[in-house]
Order: sequence, then C-alpha cells, then structure tokens
Amino acid sequence: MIFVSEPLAKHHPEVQLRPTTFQGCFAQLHVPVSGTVSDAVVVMCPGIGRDGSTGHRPLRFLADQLALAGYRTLRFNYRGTGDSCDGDATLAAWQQNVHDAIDAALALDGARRVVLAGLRLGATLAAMVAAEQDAVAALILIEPVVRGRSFATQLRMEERLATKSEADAEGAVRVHGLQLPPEELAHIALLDLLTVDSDANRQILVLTTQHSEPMRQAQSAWQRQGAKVTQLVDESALAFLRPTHLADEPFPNLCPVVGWLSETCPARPLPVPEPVPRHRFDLAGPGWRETARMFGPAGNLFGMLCEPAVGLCNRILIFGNTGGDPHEGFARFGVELARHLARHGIASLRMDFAGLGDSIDASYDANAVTHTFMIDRRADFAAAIDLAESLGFRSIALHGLCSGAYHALQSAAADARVAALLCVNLPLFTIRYEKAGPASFARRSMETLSARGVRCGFIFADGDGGLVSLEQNFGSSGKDLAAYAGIECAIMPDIDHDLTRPEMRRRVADRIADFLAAVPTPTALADRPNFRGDTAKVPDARLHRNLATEGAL
Amino acid sequence: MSIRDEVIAQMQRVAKQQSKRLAPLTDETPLLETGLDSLCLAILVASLDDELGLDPLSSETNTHFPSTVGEFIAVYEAAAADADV
Repeated sequence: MIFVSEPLAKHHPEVQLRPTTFQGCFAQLHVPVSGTVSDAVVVMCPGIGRDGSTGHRPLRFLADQLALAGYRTLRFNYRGTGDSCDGDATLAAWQQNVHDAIDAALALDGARRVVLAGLRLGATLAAMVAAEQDAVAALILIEPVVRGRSFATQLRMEERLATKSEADAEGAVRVHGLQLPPEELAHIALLDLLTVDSDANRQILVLTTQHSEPMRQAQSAWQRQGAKVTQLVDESALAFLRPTHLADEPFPNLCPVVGWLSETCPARPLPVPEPVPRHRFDLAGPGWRETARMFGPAGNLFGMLCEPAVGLCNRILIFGNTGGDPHEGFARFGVELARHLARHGIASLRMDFAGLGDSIDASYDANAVTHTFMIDRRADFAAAIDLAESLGFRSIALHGLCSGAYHALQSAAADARVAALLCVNLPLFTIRYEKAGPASFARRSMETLSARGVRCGFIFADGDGGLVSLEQNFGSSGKDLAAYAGIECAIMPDIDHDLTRPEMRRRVADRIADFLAAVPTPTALADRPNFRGDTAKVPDARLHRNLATEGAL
Repeated sequence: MSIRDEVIAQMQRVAKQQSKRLAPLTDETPLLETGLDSLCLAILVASLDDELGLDPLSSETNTHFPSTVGEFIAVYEAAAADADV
C-alpha cells in the first residue's frame, strides 16, 4: 500500500515534491505541477553506503529533470538506509525494497510501466529486479557495479583503512552505517552483471565515466539477448561519485539521459493526477514517529520531524547537514540520533540547508551552488525554529557536527529563541580571520550565550582538528570556557571526527541525550500557545496519547 | 599496459573522480602523501580488481598494507606474476 501526501510545497518552480511511504520505506515523489504525465514512472534505486550520500543531490536533480519531462519519479531509501525504517542489510532485502517500490509506482494513477534508474550497487539491483519484472520498460544504469567482488573489496578496504577501528566480534564489515556480516559480503562478492538476464527489446542506458572491460562484456551479453544497449561515457557521471562536501559544483548536464528516455520510452500522456490523502505520520518505529516537513518562507526547506511514539514533549533539537551529506547524516547518524532522542522523550528536526539534500535554493535556481562554510545558514535555522514554535515546542536546542556545528553556533548566538546548543567537533568559531582575544567572535559569542542563559556543550574527539581553534581562543582543552556560566567542554578519547564507527555514534548520542535532559524546560504544556491537542487537563509534560488512534503506520 | 602503468592510470582516475590533487609520484612517495585518502585507496583497490582481476590486498592472509607507491605497485606485480604461473 502506498500513502502519498498532499503536495507540501513547490520543490522546483514546475515540480512538486510529495513525501511518500511504502512498506517501511521513505520516498519522495517528483511530480510536474501542470500539464501531463507519462504512464511510465521512474523508480530511482540509490547507491548503498557512501554512494547513497554522494548520489543524493544529483539524483534529486535528475528526478526534477525527469518530472519536467513528464515522468513522475519516485526516489526511495532502502529499509535501514536514509529516512526509512530499520531493516536487514542484505541483497535479498534490498531487492524486495525495489520490488515494493515498483508496486508503489504502479499504484499511482494511470501508471502502466516502470523505468528503473539505479546508481552503483543500486543499478545492479535494478538490473537484477528488472529480470523478474515485466512492467520494467527501460533501465538507466549509472556507474553500475559490474562485479560485486570489487565492491566488496572496496567496503573491506574502507573499513580496514578507517581510523580507530574496533573489530566487530562477528567479523562484520561496518562502514557508512552498514553492518554486513561475512556471509552477506560473500553474497555481494558473487554478484556479476554478466549473469543477469535481460529481456529481449529492453532499452538500457549505461552512464559511466569511462569505458571498462567488465562493462563492455556485460553490454555484449545483454545485446546477445536482444536488449538495446546505449552507453554514454560522459564526465557528468562524476557528479554522482564526488565527495558530498563538493556541493559547490554546478549540477551536471543530464539532458542526454532525459533525452534518451524521451526517445526510447515515449510518454503516453495523462493528466496530472490528484494526490491521495495520506496518513498523518509518514513512518513509525519502536519509540518514534516521523513526519516529513517542508518549510521556510519559500517552502523550499526540507526536514524530518521525529517525535516520541507516545506522549508529547515540549523540547526539540534542530540540526542541519554535516558538510554536504544529506539530512540523514554521515553513516546515518542524524537518523540514529533522532530516533534515540525520541525514545528519551525528545523531539528533533533534521533538516537540509538550502541547496543540500532535499532542500533547494530559495531562488529555485537549479544551478545555484552551495558551500559547506561560506553560506550563512542562520536564515535556515531561523525558519526551522519558526516551524518548531508553530508546532508548540518551547525549549529549542541546536546541534551540529563539524560544519553543522559551525552553523549551529552562528545561529544560536544570533537567535534569542535558542535555549541550548551542542556542538560536536566544531572545526572553528569563525571563518573570518581574527586574532584570539576579548574582542574575538569566539569570546563575544560565549559571553552572549552565557548572558542569555543558553546551556552550551562542546564535544571534541581527542586529536580533532577543531582543538586548535579551541585552544587558540580558550586555552588548552578549552579550560577558559569554565569562566562562562552554563558552558562546558568535553574531549572524548574514543570517538573520531566523523563518528565513523557505530559505537562512537552511540556514545555521542547518549551524551547528547544526557545533555538535553539537563536543560531546564518549561514545566507546563498548558503554557504552550500553539500546543497541538487539548491541553486543558494536561498536568505536565508526561501526557500520553495513543498513537493508534491517530492512524500511524 | 604494464601493471605499473595501470596502477598509475587508476591512481590518476580516482584522484580526478574524488577531486584530489595528485602529488608527483615516485616509488618512494608515501601512499598517504600521494593526495589520495583512505576512501580513494579503497576505490583504487576495487578499480584494480575490476581492471586487472587482481585483489592481493584484501585477502585475510595479507595483513600488511604497503606504505609507499613502489611497495603498492610491487604487490600487484607479484600478484600478477603468481597469477601467470
């Protein structure tokens, strides 16, 4: 069953973004605002692990371009990735998710055919599923993993070369939020596109950065089966592979991909259908429930509101992107943190800054570039705080990791509505050149925050690069911060900058939950001017409400 | 293309893909001073597996990771020689 939201906002001047769920998977449906749509729906199969992050922004852009051409496009997260519910990290589970996505696409009004577009291992999964699905009219394979062995090799090497590794007792490979037991890695290593059948007459586009012998062999095998294979060797494919912090590069020219689809799978036009009403909550799991939100003056910002499954809370933690990673965070830390906090009775909003993840620049300029540090994010945080206040939250805390911490600090210093700030691995206090001293931004911001009674916490990994800036401004290990009331600093020896390993993320999430629990909050929900629900008989913040009565999934 | 040439070509390709500036490469250049980070090295090893069909570094018996470009190339040359036997 698929639940599609009402259109939340214009995502592109001519495209609407409709958050969608099916079988525990979260998805975004890109639909043109007006005109007609094709009976063929594109289902995007993202990459797995790091490829899922690097491909997020260009796939979002490609989805907009396809929607503009009349192809409704469904971008989804596999279970256990992105905003989806948790799930097994297995090839079988991921293939099932693709099947479910196809079912969801075919459930849309007028949908008769599906085009599968996949990136890296997602492309390989798409080809495998297409071999079992008659409804798949065409395949778009972007830098596909041809041999699973080399992909498994890459995952093993990444784990091996990662810093501060603690070997998993079961021998699992744990990278990018994945936990792959040895037997599952062995399954991946056995993948070989050469052995994946293709229906005769199926149209296949392969977009790669270079010619390779394994890809040539796979194409030959499909052509012998009658498939019509087009290879596009183009540097635009690089955009799907580049590190996410290079978000200041213009979007690639993907017109050839859209043009190929228009020629090989021409639209059979239908009127743009009305959306189906959705359930109130998009997703729910043990102790949490989540709703997608688009907000901001132009409705261009995306965030996922995560709340405790039962009960209401009046405190919320708002956090933005780390570098250029989408809102789920590096190795999915943003999702893990949000659901962990919900189980501790704390709500959160994980948002994308304008131009990153699922938020676009307010100018709707698809070619607008963004930058990790250089763009002022205070307006984005202010819009998120507006949203939180409109929902009735009264105790608002900001948080960030690395560059996200930098922007959280700037916003907390500027916005008197912020009650608490927690920065993890803050790389620097200001990007402007200035000497340390009483007039520095670092000192002035601490004075401002302390005077306002904002509770502040700074957490650093032992040896983190941000300790240099900390020491320059506040002495060794930030000892001078003790002079400011309400401000504390901790250096944790067992984490690294990116919180690479699961145990590191758990330690920091616990630390954040403890920190927030100690932040004073308003005592009576009845004081909340915009509180959702009947507050007349609510004695305190421990009100409980039965989720089932609200039709949660 | 020789093993050495293939390794260098793949290093250049990965550097371009990941927007890294590659240092002048000699046999003595430490791997971590080539401009390639750990992710790049992982992608490099995977790419060489695809192109050469050789994966000498991720086997459980190989616990030593080469520290210089020369050592890295030598590992692949040795693996190629073993494969030819």
